Amino acid sequence: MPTKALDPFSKDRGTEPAGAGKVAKAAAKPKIRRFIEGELANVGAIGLVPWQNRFGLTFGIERIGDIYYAAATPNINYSTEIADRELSLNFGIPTRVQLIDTRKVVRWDNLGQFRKEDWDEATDFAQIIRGIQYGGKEDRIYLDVNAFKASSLGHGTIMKRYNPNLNLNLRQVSAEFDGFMDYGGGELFVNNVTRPNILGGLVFIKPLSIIDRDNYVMRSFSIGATVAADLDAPLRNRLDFDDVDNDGRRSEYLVDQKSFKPSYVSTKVVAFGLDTEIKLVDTKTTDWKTYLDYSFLASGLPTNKNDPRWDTDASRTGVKGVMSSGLAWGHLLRLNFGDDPVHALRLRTEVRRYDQNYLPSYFDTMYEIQRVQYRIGDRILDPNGTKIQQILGRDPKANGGAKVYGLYCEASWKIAEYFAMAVATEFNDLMPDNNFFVHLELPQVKNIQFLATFHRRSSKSPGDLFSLQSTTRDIFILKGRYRVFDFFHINVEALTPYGIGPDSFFANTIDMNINAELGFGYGSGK
Amino acid sequence: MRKILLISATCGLIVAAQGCSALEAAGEITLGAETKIPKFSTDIKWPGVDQLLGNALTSATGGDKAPPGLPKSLGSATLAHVQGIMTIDGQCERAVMVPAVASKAADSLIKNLQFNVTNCGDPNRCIEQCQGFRGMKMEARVQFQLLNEKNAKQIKENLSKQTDPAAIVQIRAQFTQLDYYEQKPNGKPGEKVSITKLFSNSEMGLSSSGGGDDTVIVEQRFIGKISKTTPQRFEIDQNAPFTKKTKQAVINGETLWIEIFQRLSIPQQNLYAITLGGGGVDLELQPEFVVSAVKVAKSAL
Repeated sequence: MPTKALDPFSKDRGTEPAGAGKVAKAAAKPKIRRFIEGELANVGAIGLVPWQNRFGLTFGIERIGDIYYAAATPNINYSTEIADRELSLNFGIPTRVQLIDTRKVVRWDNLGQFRKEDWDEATDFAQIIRGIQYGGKEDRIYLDVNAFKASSLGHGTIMKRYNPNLNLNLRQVSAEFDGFMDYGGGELFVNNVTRPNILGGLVFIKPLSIIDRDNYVMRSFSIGATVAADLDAPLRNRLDFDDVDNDGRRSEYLVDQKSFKPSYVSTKVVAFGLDTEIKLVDTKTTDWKTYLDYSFLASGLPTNKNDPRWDTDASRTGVKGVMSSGLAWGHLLRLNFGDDPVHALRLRTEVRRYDQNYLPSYFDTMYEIQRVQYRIGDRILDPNGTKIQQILGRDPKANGGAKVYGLYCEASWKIAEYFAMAVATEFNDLMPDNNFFVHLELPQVKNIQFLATFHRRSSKSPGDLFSLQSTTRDIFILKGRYRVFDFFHINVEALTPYGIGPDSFFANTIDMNINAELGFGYGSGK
Repeated sequence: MRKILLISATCGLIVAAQGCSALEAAGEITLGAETKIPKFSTDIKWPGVDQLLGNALTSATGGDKAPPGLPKSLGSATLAHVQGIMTIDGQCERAVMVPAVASKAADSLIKNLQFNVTNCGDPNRCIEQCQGFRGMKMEARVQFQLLNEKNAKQIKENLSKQTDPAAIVQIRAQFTQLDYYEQKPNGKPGEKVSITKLFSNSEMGLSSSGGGDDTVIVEQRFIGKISKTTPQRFEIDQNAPFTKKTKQAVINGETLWIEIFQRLSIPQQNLYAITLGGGGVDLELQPEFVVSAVKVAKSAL
């Protein structure tokens, strides 16, 4: 086995050469084909970064809660390479002017008013960051600060494709930093760089690298520990008994009428675990590893959740601790074939065994919504409908105390910068937590940039995942960008759900937006 | 109403073109006070004890053989006395009908106050009606004309019969007054004192004329928040049969009578504190219909 510095195909955790995952483009350098790994598609992303260095001004209509705004965002995008790794910078300054307030009483009163809440606190200034990315996931160094992508930790047993921005009433700039070396490494994640409430970290060591770094089996064996926590996890939702939005509905969620955030009694939920992995095959075109994760989920539950005064009468409030656990054994197979373009294929399967009140990948794609209302889209305004209560509140002794057995399968395929797709399903034999997604992406084909993701979440049975009938827990994300002229692009988006709207609960209503972008390209770009 | 058609037409075109949730939300019109939907405003006086009990007092004590000097009227006796008489008479319930009811609002039409009391003093009797509760239960129902001929005609002109009832996205009521009172003891005639806090439970709701589809809209815990300076809106359950029936009647442009009911539970220990004579409820509410102009337009396409 060649040494690390000379081997562009060494891929295991912490041993990639600089620039792995990307095709070297500098004309002056010899073209070296690198093994493509990491996430092949931007599953769960709700935004697109222009493919060229570009300055532009985007106009459109946006909704925050019950209020519609005319929005204008000047933005600039710049990409370059530093130390053989790509650096991509994307900044924007969103400004909004009110059009209509759909709350019945206010309506047009503030027409034309600038939304000062966007810029009235120091922390608001983080929103000018749309994306800063250096390196790629599973590279030696990876930094990602962004406002529209999803993030994972380790094998994803605890946090997988968590997107802080699926609740569109809430803009958050998340940050992830990964650093690997031959003897160990780590990952760090925060969901909001100014006010983090979801934090995660992973550390691992590769003890056998000390013995033999050239043997891929020895070099790849690692032991890791992961922890992630929501420090402001909704435990019990407050209902709008005082009708603060003046619409007469009192059994809906209590929503702050300025920020449109739901109000709840919070607690902490912590997920932690240990894992180990080892590579079984490592060739120039094939990379196969297996891993084992054992994770725990811990939080508190209301001592009497049916007491209507539990959250208003201090003498009645009480929380009891609860913990559950799960085991996952997985395989990840990565294949590269073809030359120009390179085809990358990523296949993954995971077998799971866990308690009935445990959920694999607790911090998942829809966590930002489901932490408040686990049964997305259902008009069940249950104060106890939070994710903590709906998952950890389950009786682990039900069904004779049976353990849940589940399977996770995922496949993704990428052809250079032309095409990417991914499909995954996770199902189990007992609980209504079956999920499915399919994702299609055209990073740049001629004048078009496009991504679309369809999720079906929390289906009652595996069969329901593939029913043609739409459900209240279907999520659809579509983003498209079309270059009409060099100076004029059209952006189209359809998203569901959109966060809390006029009915004061999370629903999967479809919102479509079309906006125009005027601007110009500069420099060489990607 | 013309506004509905104008916005309907505009939204209809835009919806047909691409679907626009902003305009859909903007196109919701509230038909209420501004569109002269009549307000319900009344001081419903409970019948006096004599009216409620009729000859129960004399029959319970032996009719003509009653001891000389026994009063033939209970005047402003308390509910405890009413319960005692009913117990002696072996009655679970008593009902009285008052056909004519005064309204404070000029355009409000109210009639047929039906008043029932249920004796829940003995845990071994009237079990079905009392469901374990001890004390007295009262129920008052009064009929109210929600849409008169003029309003109905106005709506009929603007909504076709093909309009989907779902175009009425919400029916609700804004309460500016809901207070149960009695004559202040030793006070001047007409001087009131609130007794709402003496109830262990109360609810107010609506049903079709003749009942059968009761829908509760105000529960006891909200009553204290209602005042002229802090009006409170309450939605009527959109899935209730009453709501569906009412929506259809509105679309058909029919004159519409509905019933407003109040149910009160007074625990045993508070019966001595409440008198029926001179008591009643001050009630003022504005019905509102929220109509989606986009859905109206879609129905017309």
